[in-house]
Amino acid sequence: MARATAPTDHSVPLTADGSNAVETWFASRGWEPWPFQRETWSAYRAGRSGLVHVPTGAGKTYAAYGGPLRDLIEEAFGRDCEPREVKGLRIVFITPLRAVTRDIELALKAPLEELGLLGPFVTVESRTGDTTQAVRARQKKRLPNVLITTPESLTLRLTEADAAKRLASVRCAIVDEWHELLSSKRGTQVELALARLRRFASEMRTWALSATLGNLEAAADAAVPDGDPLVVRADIPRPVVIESVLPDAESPFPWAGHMGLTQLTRVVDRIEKDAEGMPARSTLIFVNTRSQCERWHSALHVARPDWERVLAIHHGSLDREDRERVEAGLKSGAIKVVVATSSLDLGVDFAPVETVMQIGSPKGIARLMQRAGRASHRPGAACTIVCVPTNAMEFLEVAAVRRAVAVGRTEPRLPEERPLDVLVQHMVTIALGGGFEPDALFDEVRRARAYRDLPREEFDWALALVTHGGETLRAYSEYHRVQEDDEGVHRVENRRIASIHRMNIGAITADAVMDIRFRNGKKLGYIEESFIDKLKSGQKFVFAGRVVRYEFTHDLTAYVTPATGRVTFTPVWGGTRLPISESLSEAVRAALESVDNGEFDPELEPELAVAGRLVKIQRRFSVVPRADQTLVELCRTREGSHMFVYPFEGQLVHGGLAALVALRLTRRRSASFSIAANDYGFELLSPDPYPFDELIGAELFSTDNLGEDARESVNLSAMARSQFREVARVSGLVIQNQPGMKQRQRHMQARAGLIYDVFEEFDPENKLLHQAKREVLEKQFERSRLGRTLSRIAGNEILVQPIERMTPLSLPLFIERVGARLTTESIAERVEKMRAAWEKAM
Amino acid sequence: MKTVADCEIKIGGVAVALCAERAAFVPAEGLLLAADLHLGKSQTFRAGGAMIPRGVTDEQFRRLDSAIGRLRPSRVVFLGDLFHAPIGVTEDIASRLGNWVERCGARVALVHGNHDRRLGKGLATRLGELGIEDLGAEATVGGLTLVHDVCDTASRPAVGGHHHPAIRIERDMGEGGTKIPAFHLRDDGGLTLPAFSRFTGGVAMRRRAGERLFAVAEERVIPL
Repeated sequence: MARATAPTDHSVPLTADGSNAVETWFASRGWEPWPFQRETWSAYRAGRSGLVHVPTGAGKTYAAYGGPLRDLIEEAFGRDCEPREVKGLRIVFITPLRAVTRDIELALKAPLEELGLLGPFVTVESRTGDTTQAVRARQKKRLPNVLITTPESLTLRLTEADAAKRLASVRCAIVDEWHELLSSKRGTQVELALARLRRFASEMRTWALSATLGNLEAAADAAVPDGDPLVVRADIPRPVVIESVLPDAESPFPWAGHMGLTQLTRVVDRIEKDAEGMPARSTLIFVNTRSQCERWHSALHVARPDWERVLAIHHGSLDREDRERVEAGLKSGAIKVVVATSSLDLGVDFAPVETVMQIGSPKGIARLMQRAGRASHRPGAACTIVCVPTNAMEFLEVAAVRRAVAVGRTEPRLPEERPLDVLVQHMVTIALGGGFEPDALFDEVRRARAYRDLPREEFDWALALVTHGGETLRAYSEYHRVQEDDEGVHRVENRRIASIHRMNIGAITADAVMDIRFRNGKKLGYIEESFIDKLKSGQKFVFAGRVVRYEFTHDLTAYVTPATGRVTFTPVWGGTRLPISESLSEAVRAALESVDNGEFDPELEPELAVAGRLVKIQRRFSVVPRADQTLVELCRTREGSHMFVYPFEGQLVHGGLAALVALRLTRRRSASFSIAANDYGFELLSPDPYPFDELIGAELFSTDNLGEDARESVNLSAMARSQFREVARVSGLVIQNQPGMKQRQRHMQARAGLIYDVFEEFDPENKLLHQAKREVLEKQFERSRLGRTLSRIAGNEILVQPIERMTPLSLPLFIERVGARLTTESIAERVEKMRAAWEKAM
Repeated sequence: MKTVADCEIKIGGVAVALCAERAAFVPAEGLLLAADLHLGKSQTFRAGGAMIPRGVTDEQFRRLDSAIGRLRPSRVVFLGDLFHAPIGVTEDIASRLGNWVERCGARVALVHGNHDRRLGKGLATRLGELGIEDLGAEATVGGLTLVHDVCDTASRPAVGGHHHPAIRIERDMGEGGTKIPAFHLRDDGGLTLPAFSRFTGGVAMRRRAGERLFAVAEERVIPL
């Protein structure tokens, strides 16, 4: 970097009265600040904190940065306009995405560089897990004036013994992508870190940056809990155009399934090409799952082998280097078409693409908007997203999202409520970073929104856990992580405990994954153990867009060799499928009713015309429920008695609801049910004849005793065991990373489940155990959403409809259930037969 | 303990009772068999930093005492993996085991398991101190071959442990239901006991041709 010299010729008019250097810099670039940017700058000037909510790419970063930057510039120039070195950390910029810190760093440096301040007078540096040892050593001596960091690295700064001294000079904390952090434990971690920073630097202002959210006020309160946060909204017109790839009127269209490869040729057609038939514009093709990503990538590869050089794949299981290469290629234009999962939802702010496609269900309103926002990052410009529904119901979803966007509806994101595991971790962090007195720390953590109602008794329980391991472990000195010194200050004395804690900071819990490598050692990425366990040596599968042959597993690494030939076998990654959101479900029910009534303009909502074909068949063989009705279909097949219920509330809720209804039915007449659930409804199947028709009534859907029944109906323990893994790791009950040894993840996995059982038997009152159970009910079953669903159904008319054969609504559920047992070919055949029968009957 | 229902079977002509304490009893020999106690496992995990609540070891000794009180064996043989790992065999664990050996009123012996072998030369010394007879890798008592893993021997009938057999009780929802311990018997006369320790992950078995499973459901052993 060229050595900067102080500008002697002040082309930048800087005066002591504070003419705005930032505005001048904008002007020098030919930019005109947006009103929301000016609003944020002056609010900052007035000492306020808040949240900036504007569409992606509209210039949020400079909105939040401008205020403290101006202070920084003025401080560097002083009253006499002679540049001087600024000492101490002034601005902390927190981003959840380690991968984008470099881009943010460049953006934050640009104005300082132009003024000749960067380097000798003002320093801007990043600090993440990737930071080199040299930079770490430098920062240990001296922090930069502007620090870009992740929540984990920020928390690590709080463990430094001189944290109070080093952080007292902070003037502003900026939290990027707050909508992403907000509803996770990482968000809680940031809330606690901010509370700590405010204690060190009482004048610190906080600005959170957020994309579209349904609960902006709550999000602002979480970032600025003890102020009066200003919510700055941009009045930037940014129309989102939602289009669909439509099947032609005659061609058959799948009624179920999620892969969507029948739409392949239409997708290829849709990608703009140059004279040589190569993709002319950068295109992002979003899919919903990693297996869909692999499948689409290989299908495109087969369809257009000539695109090989410009076609790439991007998902969270790929090796980081490979992902970065794809991101860089997209930026430089070397790569034109990328098939990606949510791994590219965020963080390509500085790499605009020209076309965005979405294969499959949009799942949520905000999610589709965010993905649409990837297209052309010019503020004010329209962004278009081309949706590619994979089955008939998804056409309804696309039209429903468009309607929701038109009226400005979107989903809220709910912050965590006082997770005890994060508090336990924070206590050890603070004990390391200068220590704490319990009363003062209690007061401080209650200033974080998540802990505003924390009872002292819970705080004391956590304190006991870190000081002596709690009641059951008092005897073991190794759990005395934190000790009280003579002055009543709680500190970590043991160096080993300190280093274990630093290595395990954070609230991100890795899945049970193995490395996947070629035999020469080159790493391809990560893969779930459960997938590898199912493979036989010699079996071929697709990973990272390549055909590979599985060889053997050694030391938690799966070794593969390159292979050739066509294989359609792709890993199915674990994890629950993302359900459609509550706001979207509601819009889908309304859209279904419109289709049934014919109340739509097929020019404006062509998706509804496509869905109309399905609705017509549904009406012929059953009924189409109105938005204020709940449809129940009953039939008998050689498999047994089936009951199908369609609340349209998303898969998780339906899973919980199905178990609940099954429990309530068996209380009246015992039976053994198998259950299937998807985003639209659920099925109960009894292999023996079962009188569903006699037993269906409003009581089945009553909210009375919901908590009790929910607990009884699902195997809470089995699910809490896997949730406990996260809780145990975050709170330090089990240790993921040990100094000097790479602990085998598998052991850690087995342990957490086992340890859960031991706790349940020998320490059943452990509060962390209760937390795991509560999190299961809330997260896995969206308990509150389940309750709202039940209330809604209670107010609905229940339509009980006997059916002779599978209907368009029941068929996908049928497939969901048998899918696990049968091969895909035979399902496809059975489905094909059913559809042929329907169409013949029409 | 409430009423305990054992399940009587015969392997190779020898009558064996499968006990709900996760043990087996050979009435003709007054012989009690238990496998995979993994003593010191909590202590090993604690040494690795995991916070395991206390009580696991006490519960094991209580369960052993209950089986002894009920069945009055003259001999107890542990079928391997009595100890989990060297670091977990603390003086406290050793003295609790020593006390139990003294008060149980039976001769106590061990066939080696893979975990016991981690103690190396220390194993023989330790067993000597504790008054536990060292039977090496395999022994024959009353027509039964006693071994850690019945797959390691061709002799039948044989009784072992090692595999921690369990069955999964399927649930329609949730992740895979619950596992409960089980006895596993092959038609050729190889019997595998469930792990005696509750602090062990069971390996879910599916019933295949030529094999039988007996689930340990609280106080009862139920043939499947």
